[in-house]
Amino acid sequence: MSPLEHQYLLYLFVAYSAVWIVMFGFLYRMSQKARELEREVFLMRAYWDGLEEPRESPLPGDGGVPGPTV
Amino acid sequence: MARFRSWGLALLGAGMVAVLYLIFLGSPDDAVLGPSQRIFYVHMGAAAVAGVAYTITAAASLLYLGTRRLSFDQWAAASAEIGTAFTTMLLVSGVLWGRAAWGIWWTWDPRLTATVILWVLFMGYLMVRQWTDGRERRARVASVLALAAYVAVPIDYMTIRWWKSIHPVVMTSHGFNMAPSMVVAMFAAMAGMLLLFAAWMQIRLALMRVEWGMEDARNRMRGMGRR
Repeated sequence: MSPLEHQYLLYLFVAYSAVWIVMFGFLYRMSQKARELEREVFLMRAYWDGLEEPRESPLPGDGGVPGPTV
Repeated sequence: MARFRSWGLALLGAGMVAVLYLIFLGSPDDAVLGPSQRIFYVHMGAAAVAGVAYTITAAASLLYLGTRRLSFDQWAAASAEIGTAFTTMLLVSGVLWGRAAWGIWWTWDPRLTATVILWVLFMGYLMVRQWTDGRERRARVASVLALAAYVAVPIDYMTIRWWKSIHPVVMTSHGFNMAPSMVVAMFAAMAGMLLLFAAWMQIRLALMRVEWGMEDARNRMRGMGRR
């Protein structure tokens, strides 16, 4: 390998490493974002499950909502 | 788990730079091909990931058919998607290497043809997944299709051993058909790309769970609107 070829390979290594570091940054951000979205979907599902559970009637006589007090 | 994931990502980030160093500066030139030989390391890394990815797809499909657990179908789909991306990389790097080594961009050699067939089969698998409605139905159809397509993987690996091919045989029963310093770079490239595959799988699986969660929420909202 000639010194010039070695120099070109060095440039290629630097260029590809720079591209990789940028791509890795995106990969890291995607990983964080995916985890965040997963957590939010989990919370949303828990919320929906709570909404669909049968609730006690709040009507008077059922021991539900208390009236105004002085 | 979060710490393990962070360590894995850090290892991938630094490891890939080390792999690039080995490929460009740490490995010698080939006596015939000169510096063009370096395409080979990317090619072998992509081949290793494609093989592992399709094996995971086949195993997960088999597990789905056995247990009917939809999480196995998610694994199969995610792995097939990434495997197909790496097979594309395998074909592109192979074409570039072939131009440097043989002086032609393409030839209908058994290995090259078998790899194209494998790529087409898994592209078809992904299309069928897109076109099939209903999670259970899609999983059932896709699992059978994945197992059928997987037959092409061992055939693709064995083509250069069974038939006359101009494709080089690097791994033989007597050892490696290349210089030891090249073997180190080749295995480093394979390890680096497998780590990349693992990181990509983790992201894809999380996104797939999110997609399904959103789909469920949409269906629930529609159901509530009708009540």
